[in-house]
Amino acid sequence: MSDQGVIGGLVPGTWHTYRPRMFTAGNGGEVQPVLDDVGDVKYQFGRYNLIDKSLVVCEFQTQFIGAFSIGSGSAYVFELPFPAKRWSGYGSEARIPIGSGMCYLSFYNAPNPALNIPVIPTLADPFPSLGGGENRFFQAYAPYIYDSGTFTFKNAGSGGTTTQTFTHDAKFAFASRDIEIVCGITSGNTWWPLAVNNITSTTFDLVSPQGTPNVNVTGSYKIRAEPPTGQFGALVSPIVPFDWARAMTLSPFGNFFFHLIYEAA
Amino acid sequence: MNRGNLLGLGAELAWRNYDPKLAGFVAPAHTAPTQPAVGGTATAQGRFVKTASGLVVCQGRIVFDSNSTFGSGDDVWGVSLPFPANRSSGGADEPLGVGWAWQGTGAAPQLSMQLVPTLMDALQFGGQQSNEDYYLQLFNPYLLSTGTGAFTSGSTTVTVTHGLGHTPAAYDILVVPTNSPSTAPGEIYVDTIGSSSFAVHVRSSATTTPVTFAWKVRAEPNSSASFDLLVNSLRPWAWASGHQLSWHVTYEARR
Repeated sequence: MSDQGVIGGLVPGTWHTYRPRMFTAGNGGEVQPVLDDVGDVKYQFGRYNLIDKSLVVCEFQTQFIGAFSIGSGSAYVFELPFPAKRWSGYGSEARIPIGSGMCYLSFYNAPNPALNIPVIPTLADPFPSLGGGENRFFQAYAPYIYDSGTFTFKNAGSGGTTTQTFTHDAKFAFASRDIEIVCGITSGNTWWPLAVNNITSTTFDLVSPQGTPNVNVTGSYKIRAEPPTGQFGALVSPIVPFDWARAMTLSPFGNFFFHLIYEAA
Repeated sequence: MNRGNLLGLGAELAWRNYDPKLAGFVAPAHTAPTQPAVGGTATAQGRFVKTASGLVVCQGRIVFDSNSTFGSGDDVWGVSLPFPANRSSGGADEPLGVGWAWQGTGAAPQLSMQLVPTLMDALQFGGQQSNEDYYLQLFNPYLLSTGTGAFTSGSTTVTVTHGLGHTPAAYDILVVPTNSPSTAPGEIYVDTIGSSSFAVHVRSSATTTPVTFAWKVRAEPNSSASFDLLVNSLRPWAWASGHQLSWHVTYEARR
């Protein structure tokens, strides 16, 4: 009897588990992440279904939890249960989506957001650090890079000047249009609007051309930056789509979730 | 014996290539659009696996180049499938997999957006109808455009072209001053928002050093344009050379 195109009869037992691994990759000099998987508690989870020895359906989860370190490098790559067969030629950069994914910072204490950013998995680029083994890995593209925080624009009495420098955690020099500034209490004098200037990979300036406020003004910023140019600009990495150092031992946890369909080599 | 696996794949997946077509569709009774053309040297690749039981796994990508044209007057882009689909409920809008709009590593910034592919709505294509089962459409979660601007000396108004073919709401527009002008500008605000531009105002002009600014429109679809939730020649951004549209879908072929 025809099963009308549905994957029929996936009887119990056809899923196989595997221990997924993730690495940093790039042009060399990477520091590898450390994932915690202590005792019977399995934070790293992977399973796959190999259809007729060729089509792989894979579910993948890794977590920064417990004793971990995020490493450093141009991109994170995630290990497949089987090496993949590329469509457009062995070793080529094949940026075809192979499923769906999510970068999730869970159980973040308010008022921080529970960041939940969809990402697009593709087979890995042929990074030099992978030594020709890129078919064993996949990577993921992020739609934007996120950071948020607070600041205090000081009045003159507190040592404030018309230009004040604040730190951010986006880890790259984003564009001015990528940052939103919202101020809190109202100053008694006219001192806005603020301009954003001199953005670096760690700081930005807020400029008040009309002078300092007559009280310290608190505010908050949100950076939702379009990825910068270059091979690594949009790739999920220790700093994309957010600084994974936000994850902490007990919470928030840093999670990577993926659902893939690809052809095994 | 069917052990519950996809039949007919054999030791090596029987991938087959096909040439995906990109077409512009319009709602019934609208004027036929100018069709996009991928261009002779641009990349339009598709491949699929079709099982004996009728399940199709399809991947593809279109990488535009300088020979590509993107059409106009279209409500929705459709990407052709290797086989017409058998709809699950007689309608559409059930996700088939994942889509991706990306401007490529050479773009600055390299805009990247996940899309949701579904089967095509029942639209017109150059007067023909009922071929919607041959195409997928792609939902965009938002529309995106960025740029910079500057007031001229002594001016309190400047018009910005956003190019989205969609009228954003004021709250979709972010304007960030980027310098310290020679005269304090007072309030900065936007109005006169249309489908191609918006106006930025300052309360006080500057002569020596006018205000410069950066802007971003990140607009939720708001029905200001027909089918503005769906990818077309201007959505989710104005398409250009080097941009890529790709997809990975799983669907049932029509019998």
